[in-house]
Amino acid sequence: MQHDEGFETLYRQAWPDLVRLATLLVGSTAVAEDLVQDAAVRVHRRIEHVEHPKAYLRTAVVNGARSHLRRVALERRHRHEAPTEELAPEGRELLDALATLPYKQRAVLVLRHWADLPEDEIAAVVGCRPATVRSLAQRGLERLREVIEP
Amino acid sequence: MSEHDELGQRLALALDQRAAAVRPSSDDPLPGFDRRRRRRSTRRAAVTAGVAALALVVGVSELDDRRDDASGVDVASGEVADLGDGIRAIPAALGDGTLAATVGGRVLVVDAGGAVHWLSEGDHATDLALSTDGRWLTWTTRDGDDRWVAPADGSAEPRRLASGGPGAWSPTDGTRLAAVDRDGRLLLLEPEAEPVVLVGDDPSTGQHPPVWSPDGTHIAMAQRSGAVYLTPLERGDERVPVVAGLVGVERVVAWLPGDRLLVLGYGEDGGADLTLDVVQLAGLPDAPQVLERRFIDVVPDGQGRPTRELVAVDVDGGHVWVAAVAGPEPRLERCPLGPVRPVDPDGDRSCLALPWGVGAVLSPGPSGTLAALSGPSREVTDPMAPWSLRLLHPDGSAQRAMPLAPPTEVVGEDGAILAIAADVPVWQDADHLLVRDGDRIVRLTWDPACQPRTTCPPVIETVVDSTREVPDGEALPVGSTLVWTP
Repeated sequence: MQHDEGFETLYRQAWPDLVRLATLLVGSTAVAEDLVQDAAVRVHRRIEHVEHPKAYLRTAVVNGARSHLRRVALERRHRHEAPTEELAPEGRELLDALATLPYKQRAVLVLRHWADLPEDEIAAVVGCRPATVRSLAQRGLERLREVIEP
Repeated sequence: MSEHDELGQRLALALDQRAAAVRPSSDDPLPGFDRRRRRRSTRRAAVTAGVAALALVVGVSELDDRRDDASGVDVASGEVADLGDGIRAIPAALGDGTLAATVGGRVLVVDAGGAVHWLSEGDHATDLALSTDGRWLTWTTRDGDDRWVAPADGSAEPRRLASGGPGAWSPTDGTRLAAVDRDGRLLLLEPEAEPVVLVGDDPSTGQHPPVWSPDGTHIAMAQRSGAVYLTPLERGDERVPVVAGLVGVERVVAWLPGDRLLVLGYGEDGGADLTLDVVQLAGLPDAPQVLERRFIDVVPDGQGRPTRELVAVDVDGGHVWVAAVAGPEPRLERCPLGPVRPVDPDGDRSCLALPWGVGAVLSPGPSGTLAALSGPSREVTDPMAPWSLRLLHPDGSAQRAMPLAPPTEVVGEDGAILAIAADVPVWQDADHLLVRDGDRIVRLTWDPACQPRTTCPPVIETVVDSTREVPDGEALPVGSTLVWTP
């Protein structure tokens, strides 16, 4: 099967980080790979209409992660399957607390503190205004603090 | 370094460590990508062939995997094609055959003669609202975060009122707008006056419109701290706390008869997705009461609906919940899967729940025909989610689906709100149905002699097409016509 060469290259390059991003959002690498592949198929079908494929792909992954969490009703139950040797206890506690946040807060914190995206790009990914990104991040951190320091 | 900065750094470190431990099962995603693409192409081809053979103008999206693109008919060209996105607002019938809407981010009024009056340029207008007296239109612009107002008849240029934010017109005289500005201040705005700051010290109220008392003397708002308070207009610059400590509170939805407030929250308490509180105000100032608190695992529609109903769609079960807040007693009713059924035995509202999370509250049109926008609630933020207009017989049979572009942007925060567009169609003059499809507004009409409507082919006309340059005041040509073939 012929691939659009540009998309193929872009997708190969973006694949590891997209899987990592989805893993940070849904907690499972296997699920993350599925979500990224699904997103890629959907984006590829519209590739001629997409101005910024990489950003669009990232948005599709973030949206797909939200849909997945809603579908399987894991939003308030799942815990990261992180291998314990990679994370200090405090790190595990933080990621567990992160998993309890409302999805948009969680996505904003991951996109800001892991993906290092600027506010306007985060706003485009999660579908809100840049000012809302700030408030979501603020509230997300407040909520994290409440959880880890009750 | 602030506490938040320090916590943010710790979080960044934990995320980096976790991400570094993630190792995809394969370095090359393309083989798996190919397999998925082939599976979808096979399924899609089968469905599309069926559509072509029957010459049906229906969306394949509801037959196909719901995560696929919506395909359907371009109402302008008549060709089966992928539909783009771009629904931005609900058309609002102004009476006398006129229509106001935002199309392609621009505000327009279509007068009874079909002439278009553009009220704004391409500045991403949203939150279009008609004043209670029908004289004024207000909207916000996302580019500049500004709030604008203009006469609904297009007789004067728009005027910037304040910085952008949610607002609500006063219910009595209809000429005042309570709005929250970009800084979280509660403002009282009049179309031809300077803004008055009612409450200027509370940045935590910001994302939802204030709610007026039915007599227009008080404004109710909720704080994310869990408090609900009132601002009496006659005293201004004052907040009367009503109740505090409602965990997860987000917004006041409606002021109910009997001085009760319906307050919506997101289930940070009790593990539910949604909380509904009914707060009795009669005890003020000494003992306001929270009369009722419900925890529901649903997703609310995120829009304050002028019909005073709150529609919510169950995440997993596809049930539609309807909080009827207009009557003497607020009710929350579950609309189970199955045929269309009445919401209120004494009213004319019906609801519909479909298995994949579609829900709608429906108003009857001609001959009892029901019309609703439907779509997969879970995927509404997906730019490729399929949506369709459905025409239904009241018993739920004889559905016709017309594929549409995805609905308006999601309004809300925290991922707790997924919009479910329930009332996009507007019945006009009792026999026309106005629907937005991407950057177009289309009108559906039927031969009056053909009954019931769900068995009759509608004529679809493009009323407004923002992809064309239309000079101000020009009467629009009618678009191409399509006929549904049974």
